[in-house]
Formats: sequence, C-alpha cells, structure tokens
Amino acid sequence: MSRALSPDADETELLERARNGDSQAFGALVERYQRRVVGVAQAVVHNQDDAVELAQETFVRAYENLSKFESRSSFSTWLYRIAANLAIDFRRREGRHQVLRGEDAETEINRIPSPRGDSYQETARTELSQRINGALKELTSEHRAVILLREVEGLSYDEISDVLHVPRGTVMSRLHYARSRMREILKDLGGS
Amino acid sequence: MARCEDMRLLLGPFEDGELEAHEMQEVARHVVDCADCDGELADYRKFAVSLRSFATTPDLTGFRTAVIARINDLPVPFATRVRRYLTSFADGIGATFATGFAAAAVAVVTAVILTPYLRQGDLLAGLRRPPQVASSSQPTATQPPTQMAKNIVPMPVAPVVADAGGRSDNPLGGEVSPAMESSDDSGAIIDKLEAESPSVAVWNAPQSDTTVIWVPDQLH
Repeated sequence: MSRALSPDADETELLERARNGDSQAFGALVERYQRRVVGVAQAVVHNQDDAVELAQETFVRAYENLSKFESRSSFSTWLYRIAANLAIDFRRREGRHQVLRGEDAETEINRIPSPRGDSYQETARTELSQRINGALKELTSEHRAVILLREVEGLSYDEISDVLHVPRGTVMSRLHYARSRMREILKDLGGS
Repeated sequence: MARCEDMRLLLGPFEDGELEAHEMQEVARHVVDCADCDGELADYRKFAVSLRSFATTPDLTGFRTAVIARINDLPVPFATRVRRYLTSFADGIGATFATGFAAAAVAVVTAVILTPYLRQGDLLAGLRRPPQVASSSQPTATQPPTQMAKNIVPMPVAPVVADAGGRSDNPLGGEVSPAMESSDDSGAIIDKLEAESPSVAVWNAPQSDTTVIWVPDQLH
C-alpha cells in the first residue's frame, strides 16, 4: 500500500503519510533529522549515550503527537523543541548539570578523526580538543547549550529562543557571555 | 573606548548575521578601524571552527530501525484507529463506486454496439423459424420497411425480385425469380435470397396474406 519514498520526498507529504500510520514515511523523517536532534540533546546533556536515547524518545513522542503538530513552526524546530525539553527534564532529574561525566572528554577525544597519520599533529589536535572541552566545562549548562546549539548545530537565534523557551535577548546575552568566557579561557591559544 | 564596549555586544550577532542591516554596516565600519574588536571577532571565528571540528557525532547506525521498532510497539490510540478505519472504509467505498461505474459504462457501451446485430439476428432467426410459428397480414403502404419486416414470416410462394431497372409485375415493383417459385422449404428460399438476390426482393403468398420483403444488409 505504501509507495516508495525518494530521499527528497516532500516533508508535508511524509508528515501526512506518517499521520495515517505509514511508518516508512516517518522513518524517512527520522533519517532526515536524527543527527541534529541528537546534537540538540547533546548540547543540553553533554553525553552522547544519553543524547541518543533522548533523541529516540524525541521521535517516539513526536510520532505520538503528530496530530497536534499544526505547522505553525517548521517540523524541525518542533522536533528540536521536544528534544530540548526532554533533555532539560533529564538534566534536572539526573542532577547532571553540575559536572560533566568524566568519560565524556575521553570519549570525544578518542573519536576525533586524525586528518593525517602525523603524530605531532595528532598530539596537537588532541591537546586543542582537551582545552576546548575544558573551556566548555567551565561554562554553565545554559551557556554551554546556547553556544553549542549556535556554533555546532547552526540554529538561528530565533530557533534557539524557541527550543530553549527563552527570549531572543537572553539568547544574545548568553552567547555573548559564553564567547567572552571561552576567549578568556583559551587566551593563550589565540596565536595558534 | 565606550564605543568599543557597545560594539563588543554586537560582534557575536554580527558574526552570526543576526543584526539589522544598518547595525551590520555600523559594526563592519567599526571593525575596519578597531584592531581590538577585529581581533575579538577573529577569535570568535576561530573558536567556532574549533568547536565544529571537534564536535563528535555518535554512530547512528540502526537508529532509525530502533525508533520504528519502538513506534510499532506503541498501542494505537482509539481515535487514531477510528480515523484509519474511516479512511480505509472511504477508500473502499470509493473503489466500489468506481468499479460499479466502470462496469455500468462497459455494459452500456456493449449494449449500444451489439443492439443492431442482435436485432438483425432476431430477424434472421425469425425468418429461419418453421412456417407454422406465425403469420401476419399484408403490410400497409404507410408502414416503414423495418416495421414490415418484423411482421413477415417466410412462405414458400413466388418471390418477386426488383432489379435495378425496376421492371416487375408485382404490385411492389419486383420481378418473379424463377429460382424461387413454388418451394416448400422456407429455409432454402432464404438461403437463396441471401446468396442470389442482388437487391430488394419481395415474396408474396396471397393465400395467406403474407409478404416477405428481402433487404440485403449491404446494397451495392
């Protein structure tokens, strides 16, 4: 009964089919947004495994509530909002907003791809990564979430405001503080 | 320096392209002349690039499958079940109507195409029927030929054939065909009419007030 889906299938059509129970259509939407949804969750909880679980939960909740999605915002923003809400709740529940898990920095460093086999460059890259992770740790979770959503996930100020339920002005001030703080912490890297 | 303090608040949004057009121009003009602000802007760019390059994406192989599996395990809400049922029912009704309409259309077209042949078949079947089945009175001059044909039963008495010249001693202008005189076999007469009559043939049986008018399908 379900027709084949092209990779560029129209989002409205996919949503309509998903509303009528076509799981293949919803699967196409999952495929399309999974990376960024994981990214949004990760920006808030700072742990990859938790972020992946939260992203799965995000898509399940989205599927359950598809009938309530009225296209006032884009589907992607709606998804990010669900993901951020779940992640914020998770962080409150787990009390993990004070400290990053120790394993996170290690895990991320181990996954950094090496552009070349050059050991000097690899060492320098690892060191830079550690410094950046350290600087991020010094930010509060609110500031960290805003700067990651902006710089890594590429969300606009309005999207961040929508996703995190804070005014646009708050997004701007948090970003300004986070950037200034990062600059201060990484001052000695300025010339490199 | 107060101007720099003001501008620094706008450097991030400037980098992100989130300022109004006139603010973008203002910051751009300031950065050209201010090395400190230009340096700060460069640092923002550098940190942004570093953050993006060090951001790690977890392996998402099987993510979609896991989500779909969870979705398939969900109980379907009553309202959704009702909506899906109604949708499929509506689809079914639509298909039924479409099929019925198509069948009716085919029946009508078939009837329109076949009716003339069926009438002709009835006529021939009637002509081939044994003579005892029916008889009819002499047709009136006002009746059209087809109407007359319906009432005609073949009789084994002297047919009259009207040729192209129109010579005939028959009241209807036909000429007696010797081959058709005094035959008791009406089927044989009809076969001969079919095989030999070049044009309209009239076959009279005065004793029973019966006339057969033979009209071939195609007159040449």
